[in-house]
Amino acid sequence: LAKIQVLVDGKRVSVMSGSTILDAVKKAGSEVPTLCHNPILEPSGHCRICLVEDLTSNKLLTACNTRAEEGMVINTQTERVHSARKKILRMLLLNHPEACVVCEKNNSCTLKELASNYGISLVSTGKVGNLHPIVDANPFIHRDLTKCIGCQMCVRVCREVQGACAIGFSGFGTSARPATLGDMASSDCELCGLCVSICPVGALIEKPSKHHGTPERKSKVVCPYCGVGCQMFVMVKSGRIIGVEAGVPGSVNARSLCVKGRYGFGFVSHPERLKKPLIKEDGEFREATWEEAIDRVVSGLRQAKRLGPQAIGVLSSAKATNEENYLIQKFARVVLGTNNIDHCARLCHAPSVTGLAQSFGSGAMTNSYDDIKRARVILITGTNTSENHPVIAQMIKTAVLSGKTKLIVVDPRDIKLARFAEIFLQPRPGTDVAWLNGFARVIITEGLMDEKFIRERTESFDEFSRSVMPYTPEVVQKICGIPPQELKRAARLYAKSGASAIFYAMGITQHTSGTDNVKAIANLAMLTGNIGRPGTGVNPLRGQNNVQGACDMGALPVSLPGYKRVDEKEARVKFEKAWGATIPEEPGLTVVEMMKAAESGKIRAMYIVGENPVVTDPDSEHVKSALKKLDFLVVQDIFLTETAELADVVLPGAAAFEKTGTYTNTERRVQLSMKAVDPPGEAKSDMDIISELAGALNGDMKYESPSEVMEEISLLVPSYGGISYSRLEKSGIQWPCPNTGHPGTKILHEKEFTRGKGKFHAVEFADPAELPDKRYPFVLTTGRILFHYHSGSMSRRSVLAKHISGGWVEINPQDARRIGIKDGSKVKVVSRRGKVSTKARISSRSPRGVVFMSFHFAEEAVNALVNPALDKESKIPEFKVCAVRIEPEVQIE
Amino acid sequence: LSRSGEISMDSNLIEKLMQENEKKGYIDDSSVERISRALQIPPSRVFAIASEFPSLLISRRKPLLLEICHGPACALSGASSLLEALRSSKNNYETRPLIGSPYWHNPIMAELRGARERVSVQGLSHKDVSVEEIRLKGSSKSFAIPYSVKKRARIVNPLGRRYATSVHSGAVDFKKFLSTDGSGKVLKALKGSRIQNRATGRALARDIQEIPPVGDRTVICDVGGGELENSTGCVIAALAPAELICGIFLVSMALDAKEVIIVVPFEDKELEQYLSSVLLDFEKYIPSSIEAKVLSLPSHIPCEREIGLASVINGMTLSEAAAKAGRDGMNTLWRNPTLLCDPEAFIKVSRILSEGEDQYRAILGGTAVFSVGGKIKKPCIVEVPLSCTFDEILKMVGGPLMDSKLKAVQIVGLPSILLPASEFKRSLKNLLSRHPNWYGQILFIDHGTCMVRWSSYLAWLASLSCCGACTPGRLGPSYITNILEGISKGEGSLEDLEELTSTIELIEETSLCPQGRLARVISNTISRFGKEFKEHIEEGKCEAGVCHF
Repeated sequence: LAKIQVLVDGKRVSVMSGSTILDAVKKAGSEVPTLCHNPILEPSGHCRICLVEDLTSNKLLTACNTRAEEGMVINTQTERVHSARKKILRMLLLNHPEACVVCEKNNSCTLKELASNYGISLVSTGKVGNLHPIVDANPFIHRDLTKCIGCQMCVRVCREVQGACAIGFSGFGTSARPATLGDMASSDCELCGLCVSICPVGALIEKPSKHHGTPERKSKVVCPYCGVGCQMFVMVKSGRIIGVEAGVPGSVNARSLCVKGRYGFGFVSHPERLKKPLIKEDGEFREATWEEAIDRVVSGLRQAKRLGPQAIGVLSSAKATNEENYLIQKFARVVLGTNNIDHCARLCHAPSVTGLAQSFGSGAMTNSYDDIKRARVILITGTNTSENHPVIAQMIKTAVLSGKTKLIVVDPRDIKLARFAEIFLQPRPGTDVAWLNGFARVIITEGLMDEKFIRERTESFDEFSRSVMPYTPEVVQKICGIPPQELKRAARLYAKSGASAIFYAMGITQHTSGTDNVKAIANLAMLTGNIGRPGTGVNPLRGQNNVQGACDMGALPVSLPGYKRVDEKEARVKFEKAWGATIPEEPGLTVVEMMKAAESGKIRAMYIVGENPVVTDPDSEHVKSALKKLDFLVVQDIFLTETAELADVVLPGAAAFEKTGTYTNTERRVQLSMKAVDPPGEAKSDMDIISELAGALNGDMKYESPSEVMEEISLLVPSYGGISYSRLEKSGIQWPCPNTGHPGTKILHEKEFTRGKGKFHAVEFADPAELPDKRYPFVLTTGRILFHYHSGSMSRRSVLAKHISGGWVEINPQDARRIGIKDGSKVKVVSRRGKVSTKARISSRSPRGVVFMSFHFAEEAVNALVNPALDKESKIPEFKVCAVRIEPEVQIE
Repeated sequence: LSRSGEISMDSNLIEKLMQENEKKGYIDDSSVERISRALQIPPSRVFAIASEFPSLLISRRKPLLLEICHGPACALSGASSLLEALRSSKNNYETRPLIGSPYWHNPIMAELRGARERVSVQGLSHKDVSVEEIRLKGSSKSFAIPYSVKKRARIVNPLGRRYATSVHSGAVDFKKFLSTDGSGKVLKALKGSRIQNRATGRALARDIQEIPPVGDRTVICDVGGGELENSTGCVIAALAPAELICGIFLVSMALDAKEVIIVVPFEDKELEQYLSSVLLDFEKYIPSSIEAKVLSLPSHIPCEREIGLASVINGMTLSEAAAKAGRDGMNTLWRNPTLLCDPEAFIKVSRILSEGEDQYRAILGGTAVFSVGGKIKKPCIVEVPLSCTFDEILKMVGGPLMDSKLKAVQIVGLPSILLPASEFKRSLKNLLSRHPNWYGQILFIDHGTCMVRWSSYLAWLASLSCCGACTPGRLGPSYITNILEGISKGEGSLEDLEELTSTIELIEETSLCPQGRLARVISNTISRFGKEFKEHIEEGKCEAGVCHF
């Protein structure tokens, strides 16, 4: 692009052609006030406060949206300019209440600041009526449009950045105002709060932060909820978190957060936080000292260990930091001498780890968030991204809205992203292998595959190619219910784009065919050469904020840190040498196997850190009875969870913002989270507790700080070799990062796959373990909702619970009519394993014959219903398909 | 839907909204959700666009809605006092001021579930409106708008059926022309003509030349009919539909356009059907590469017309379109290179071809069509030679109303001019020599009209004629109204006059869309009738006897 010369306040500056006057003004070091401008938005020129004078045309021009032209002579501070800006400000103030003293925005209000800078106090000409009722439709956002200045930042940011398009600029003339359909809660509003964060005045205020005053300091942290790994600042006053702010420089989420990240911080200071260790005596908990508790744990574990180390099971936590996970697995292997260490990755992405490792050699997301905007086609399947990974959904939506990216959605439910899709396919639940093979067949028979890529970078193509031939579009239609023409159209779109990326989540993995599903996805990417390049890839979206890190750190029964197999001698020797201890050779039990072993008496004691299997594991009644059978159970958590209630000893841990540590997000980015506040009472970080326990059990696991643990990790785990706290303080690093000079890796498998050549796998469709029948005619599929998280232990103890306090079963209107239930009626959902009472929510999002429930609510424990049948390879239970019936509950008047 | 907010033109959001409004009487949340689902458009966009147009009602209302036109002509005829009187009397209907009627004139509109009646405001008392039923004085099944025939004035009939017979011969002429000439002559004639395109305010020849020679091109004929300042378009279209359609296609062929859209006001079902039937007559002669349709849009679009039409047709909100025009230029508003033009210019194109350019210049080049209203006996739409003076026009329309003594003529449109009675001897030609793009409405104002109040009314009108996208457009008129109200109460100062002038200049110079022209009328009023303003301020005197201090 050519450069142009502009004179600003007498200073000559050179800017790229196409730059705005504001760009030139900034380059010249001059200042122009703005109200409606923000670099993340398209320039709009709504407020007109950024007026400058161009002497070449003798015109007043708005700096933010007028392109600079060669030879312009711009003055930013003349009398004419000031007088015009003052008049604009007077107009705005004429329409704005003088309530600054009691306005929550007060000292951070841009309008007030500008009025003060330009010497405007009261507007003498009287007020223009602008009274609007205050809208208090939800517990997150306080909306007072009487204060709105019509800058439309909220409208634009909702459309341009969030992609939600929930706010429109409604009406015309003086009364034009931003508005949502109905109130905010019933509109498309995702309550992400981005509009609030960008509002320059007090029209939109965050309710949870209201009346808490100005923060004293802020700490950079990683969001404690999903695996996106949003970075944010927590605002602290008097040792208490009073709010959250996005906009950490260099963060993956930029200014975006979801409703949980922005408003769900209340759990940290919740009165139910565990503040002292608890010991159960005669079936009742009593508070205890740390010494008592540690003694009790030591004796409980020692007693079990006498039966052999395999009698103890340890569950680590995808919520704990990398350092803590590393220490927990080290504690299990070195101090307790067992490989019975697992965590909830088993219940979400074990098939990704297993399947992708076999196809590519590495079980992680191959590409980066940055690649979303580079993809020409995005295929999402088995991920209700808007609810589960809202900030990634936002990236996908904005890519689609840019007009450069097309979206294919394949999901049994009519998820929100389907509205943005070029093609939306609705297969029957549990039929993924069939349509994925069907895609591959269309691509092969129409010659759309990347032959060069297949020849040079892959193996076993012929066998795979033969295996998909029976999956004609007609056969696929029979199995999945997808019309043949639509299947072909989608396959062609994916194959021909030049850069297609696949994103998936637990809708793919939580099946008895989970690993096959993942392999079929990998096949598709290799078939079309959509791997190892920008805008392509196979991208599993991980569930918890450190589930990737917990796997990386070896909190798995078969893997040591860095995915070295525990049954491989060379790997074991390396760690034994570093740790100065012997590591058991036999792989340990998975979480579901541990529960079965507990039930059968093979496991006698368990140490559960930060997990709540009673709510999150399948067939929860069985889990409860298994845990009750243990000789000794110690649970380390921040609340007395449903699992902790069964424990003999409960140890109070520190929550996310109460400790320093690193988390690895779903795009393999290791990020540092700084301690913001002290833990309540006598609660301690997991790292401190484990060190103390190890010491009491004659182990040596003393570390000065989490950074010292990271130093040890970087020595032992090659992909973390170049990662250190000093580097992470600047920004996150994506592994593999083998040495300190390495910038990190944005795209995996660029030149060759981790395993050398990519391997095609012939996979065959098989029915889910349990299909609907006459007695149980519906397929129950489970998942998360936007406003809650996992077992609800955090989200249900925050303001989020005020918004959604209970669960429901979502049922198609035709099915509801057929069985005679209305929206909101009480129903029983019954499976072969149990029954749950809940409310019906009638929605066409679920297709006929399919019902959906979330698993956040212990009192409506959906996991009591689901089928614990396991995928043979990865041992993940089939959370996504089981047969149920819906019974209307008789209402007692 | 794109990041900038554009949606597919095929989605016809506005048409769906208007159909829903027509069917149900208003648009509520369930209508919004239904349309949103059907068109795959976010609900926020559906209701934002619905709420931009006064003709679409976004809340439930009583079955009977009485709308009193508050356009300039009706305002001079006492529309606001009628509305006030109706509101203070007990009744079973809702009332609201109507901005933008589908016809030029001054109708009171009553609507009962889609059945509409219109009657002139002039001379109508609130007692003439029945409380129980819709029985309005002077109403009938046919239009009750009084047009009259006067010497030398070519008077326009709404939907004048006598012209319908010309459609067929027009189509045949069109075919003859196509077979003998092709588009070469059209282009040559157009390039040499001085036809003004009122829709853009530029010469049609220039607009045509500036259309980028890339991609599929679109020609839009804005029949309009709802603009406050000029509603002659729909009458012209009804008067000479064959000539209009012929002109549209000649220009389309000159441009090698692939698409023709004829925009008509939604309320005017008859005109829509009429033009559609004429299009059908022409169908066999039109090159198959051109796709033509008649599109109904709201009659009043509160924004600069070109931005407004682009937004409605492309599915953007007005403020998005205004922001885009301000940022990237007007020519980026359309998805395809697009020529937007008014009916009169198209008709002139076909006349050039049928009568020859020289002939056209000699015979017809010197006429203009516009509406005349205010304190006169017979408001109407006239086509007169440019040599006509305002005095002569006044005679044509029956002279002043009752014993009114006229003091000014207000021209609302492009440009907006206020001439005192001393200048009534000026001819249109004299005026047009300085304002070649002139079009608009001529309103005669009498001595009983207070110019401070009149300015205040114009400021109110300006506030309703903007999309609300920018601060000066949204709040400037209210800012002016506040000052003017102070003056009319005797609370003003001479500094207020300076403040008014400088504010109007700021609105004109800095509003996001070129919407400042209504504000400009006020500065004209102050400069021409400054004496009246000063009398209010310094002597507490209102010459018209309207303001009470």
